[in-house]
Amino acid sequence: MQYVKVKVIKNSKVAAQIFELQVEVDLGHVKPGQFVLLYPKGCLLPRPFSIGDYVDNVLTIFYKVVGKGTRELTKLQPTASIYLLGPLGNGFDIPTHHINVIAGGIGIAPFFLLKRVADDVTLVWGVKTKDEFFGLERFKGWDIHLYTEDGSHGMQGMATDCLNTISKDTILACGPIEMLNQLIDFAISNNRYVQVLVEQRMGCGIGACRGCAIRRRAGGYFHLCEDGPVFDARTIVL
Amino acid sequence: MKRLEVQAFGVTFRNPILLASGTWSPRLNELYPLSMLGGLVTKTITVEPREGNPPPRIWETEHGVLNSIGLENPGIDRFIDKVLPELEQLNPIIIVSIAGSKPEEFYTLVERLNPTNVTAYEINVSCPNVTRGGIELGKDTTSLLDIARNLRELSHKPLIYKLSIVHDIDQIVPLLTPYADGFTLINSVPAMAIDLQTRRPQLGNVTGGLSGPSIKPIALYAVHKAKKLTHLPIIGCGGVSKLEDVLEFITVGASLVQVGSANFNHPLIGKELVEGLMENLI
Ligand SMILES: Cc1cc2nc3c(=O)[nH]c(=O)nc-3n(C[C@H](O)[C@H](O)[C@H](O)COP(=O)(O)OP(=O)(O)OC[C@H]3O[C@@H](n4cnc5c(N)ncnc54)[C@H](O)[C@@H]3O)c2cc1C
Ligand SMILES: Cc1cc2nc3c(=O)[nH]c(=O)nc-3n(C[C@H](O)[C@H](O)[C@H](O)COP(=O)(O)O)c2cc1C
Ligand code: FES
Repeated sequence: MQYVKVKVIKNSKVAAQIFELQVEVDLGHVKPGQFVLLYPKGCLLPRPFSIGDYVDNVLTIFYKVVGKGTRELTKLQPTASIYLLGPLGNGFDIPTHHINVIAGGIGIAPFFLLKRVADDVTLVWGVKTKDEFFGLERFKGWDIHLYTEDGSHGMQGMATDCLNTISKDTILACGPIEMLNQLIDFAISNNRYVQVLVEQRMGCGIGACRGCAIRRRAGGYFHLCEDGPVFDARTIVL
Repeated sequence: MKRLEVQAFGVTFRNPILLASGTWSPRLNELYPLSMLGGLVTKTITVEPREGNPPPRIWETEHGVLNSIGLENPGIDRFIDKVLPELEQLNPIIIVSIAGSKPEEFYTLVERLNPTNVTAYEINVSCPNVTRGGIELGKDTTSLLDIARNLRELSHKPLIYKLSIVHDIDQIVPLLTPYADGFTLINSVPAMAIDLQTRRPQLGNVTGGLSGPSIKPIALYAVHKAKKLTHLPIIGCGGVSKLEDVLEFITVGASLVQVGSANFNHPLIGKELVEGLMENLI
């Protein structure tokens, strides 16, 4: 883990409300599902983002503009700099055989890095409407199934509609809470190993503030920054 | 370097910069040597482990951080066996923050910690996020005085009382002075925030404690006020995020300062404040 001021290489809009931020940083070895904290100007708390892609000391983050911090990020121009802490968190446990990925909206972010380490993947990606898709060309070679809620592209429906037909292989998933809750129900009722990347508000990313509590199904709490952000869906309650 | 040293509670601090309870972890030592700080105050420890409050537990307001952690901690047994040995490697000055929902719990904690090498106790009677033994205890002056008298007898180490702005400082500080070695002012300020979309509180526990830049003027006021009421050393805490803040607390009479939520905003803050003080001396 390191805390460094990194230089912005690129920061541009790639889809509706979604930006691609590239910074120069040597993170060492990283795993898909790990995250970094960014420290936007004028914010008291850092903001967590999945490692989108990472190659040759270039880190890519895909972020959706939702509030104060992400709005501030959009102002970063190339050559500007921003503090970053990372890499943090456990990341996905990546099987060597075929993998199913289920992503909802911006929940696609951590899977660009998976593309670099896994070939035999079925990707199911659902969004509300077609302008929310981006970077599809990067997944070339995977078996891709796209869903839009309004039917504007691919199949009409949600990514979780695939659950009836999906193969028995490990599922890696990231997306909005409603989607994750469906996956939790699915994992419990079918006793399946589904790895979900979950979100929680964070204060520090290093186990100090105890702010990032995630309810543990067996009672008590996990901490997203120490035990996550990836969990076995059967073990948590969102 | 010596000129940054502070003598307080019979302890020599290499400089006046401490990290506040609940706002740092040993992992900060991966970013800079925590040994360069004046000292470290642990997360508040209770006799039994506590799992803390329901999430969400933390929220950023315009100029402050709102939290309702609820004294999540591993309990005294695990603290002594597992946590403390690691902390002792980080800095020679470890102040252990303790709290209890009954007076006996404070006594147990001090008895358990007396044989260890910890430097001092910070008695947290000001947590806004627990129903018993937190901020309410600091308001119940009869119980508080009773606890303070007994702790004075039991303790082998300095006793520092951490107070809140909602306490009656005029009353408590003179009352505790005969049984105390110092005071920390202030803990986070009771507060809340609302999500207008859902019309629900932003915190799972409904209310929380506010920290950060917005409480600095309140904390300065509390230190200034307490200084007139006691000869004991005071640790200033609340909204310290830059060198000027440290100097302001020292100006109103603080011997030491604690840096809290600024660690979240800029993890190197402790190091930079110590370096800033060193440069300021030259
Ligand atoms: C491990 C992890 C990975 C993430 N990866 C990505 C990613 O790759 N791309 C992306 O667009 N978003 C990602 N998020 C969500 C992202 O952190 C939030 O959207 C962002 O913090 C919102 O900040 P804001 O100031 O714009 O929003 P505001 O709503 O103004 O933020 C207010 C506070 O709430 C926190 N907050 C708000 N929404 C979330 C959220 N969903 N999760 C956690 N904290 C939140 C903020 O950090 C801030 O402290 C991730 C979250 C986590 C926990
Ligand atoms: C996330 C968080 C956890 C805290 N936990 C504790 C605690 O366990 N015990 C305690 O005495 N104070 C605790 N505090 C209060 C701080 O130690 C400090 O008194 C307060 O935050 C004000 O200082 P600041 O403005 O520099 O943050 C906590 C504060 C935060 C933000
Ligand atoms: S974010 Fe602070 S403990 Fe996890």
